[in-house]
Amino acid sequence: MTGGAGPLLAGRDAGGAAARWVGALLATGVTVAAACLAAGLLMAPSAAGPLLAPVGPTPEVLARAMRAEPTGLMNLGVLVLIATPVLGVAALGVGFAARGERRYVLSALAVLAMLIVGAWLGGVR
Amino acid sequence: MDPFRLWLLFAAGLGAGSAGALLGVGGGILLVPLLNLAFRVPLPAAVAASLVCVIATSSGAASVYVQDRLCDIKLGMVLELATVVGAVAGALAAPLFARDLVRLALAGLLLFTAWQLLRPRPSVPGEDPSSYAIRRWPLGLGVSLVAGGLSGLLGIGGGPLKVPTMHLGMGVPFRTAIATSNFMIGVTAAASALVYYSRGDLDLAVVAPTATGVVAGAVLGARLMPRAPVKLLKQAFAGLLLFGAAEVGMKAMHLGPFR
Repeated sequence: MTGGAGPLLAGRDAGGAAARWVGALLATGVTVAAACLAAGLLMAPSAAGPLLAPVGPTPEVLARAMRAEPTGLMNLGVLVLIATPVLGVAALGVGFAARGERRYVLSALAVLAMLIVGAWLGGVR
Repeated sequence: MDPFRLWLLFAAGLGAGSAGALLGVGGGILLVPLLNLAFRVPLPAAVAASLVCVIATSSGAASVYVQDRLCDIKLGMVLELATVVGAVAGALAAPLFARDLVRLALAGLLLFTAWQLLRPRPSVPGEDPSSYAIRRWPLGLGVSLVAGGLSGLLGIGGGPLKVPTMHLGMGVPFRTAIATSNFMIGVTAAASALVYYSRGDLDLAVVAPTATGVVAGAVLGARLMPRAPVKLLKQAFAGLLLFGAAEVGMKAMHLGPFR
């Protein structure tokens, strides 16, 4: 499994390119998410009760965020945050595929498939 | 929303995010009781907020660790596969298990792991991230499966079990184990967080300030971790395991504030 005695630091044996890609994607995801959450929070009215998510299906969340509605922005922040690690796995799969590392492409695809199965079994539609 | 409460939630997130990034855990062990007991957030909403914060810790810290090449991505990907299989199986099997018994077993496992981490050993894996050989894959895959199962059963992340297993069992340097765990936990938490979000359990007034603090804390913690002495990281990790064992054990026995 290790492919010999050496470590499996993908960042090293990929010459750093794949690792930089994934690192940049994760950094962008959390930055956008935090910006949306903070912007929504600053613009939110001083309501006393909880602000329950979601405000509606994803297209409605996007429409509300585009109109700069505070709850729309905060919902968008949560969705971006949830999507970030999943996109990271997908990007890694692409990186492994580009290098012809089929074993790890299959691992990435299997992880993504299990996440979809888990979300589906959990009632996400 | 009370600005003072918002700042307190931000500060709580900052602390949990830093601790999570420094130790390779999501911070749920700290955040759930903190939100529930100190901020009076109902338990389902506290768990939901904590899951979103685990993703924030993971992605924030991993963005630094992956670029700094501290994270063993391939190891993480293989172990993550076992973890998500365990998590889905655990969630499906949850009605069949007596949760208090599982909690007691987990408390014992956390105590055992803390002892393993602290006890003197004739040889421990080195800390050079460029030269180590991974051994005992079946152990790593098995623990990841169990950690995923516990996550599905009890909503507890796998970091406290996976970091010591990667280090002591598989020969991975402690810092690399922390960084790799941070990369993995966000992926596991994403599926559960989506379920809580769809169910309407997320309170944005809690999640937004806490997760914003967590992102800042995670990046800060990830910058500090490579400079922190390994001995100190291990002691802090063992302390977290002891706290987790007490929390889970008291919950199992319906004692104290964690019932």
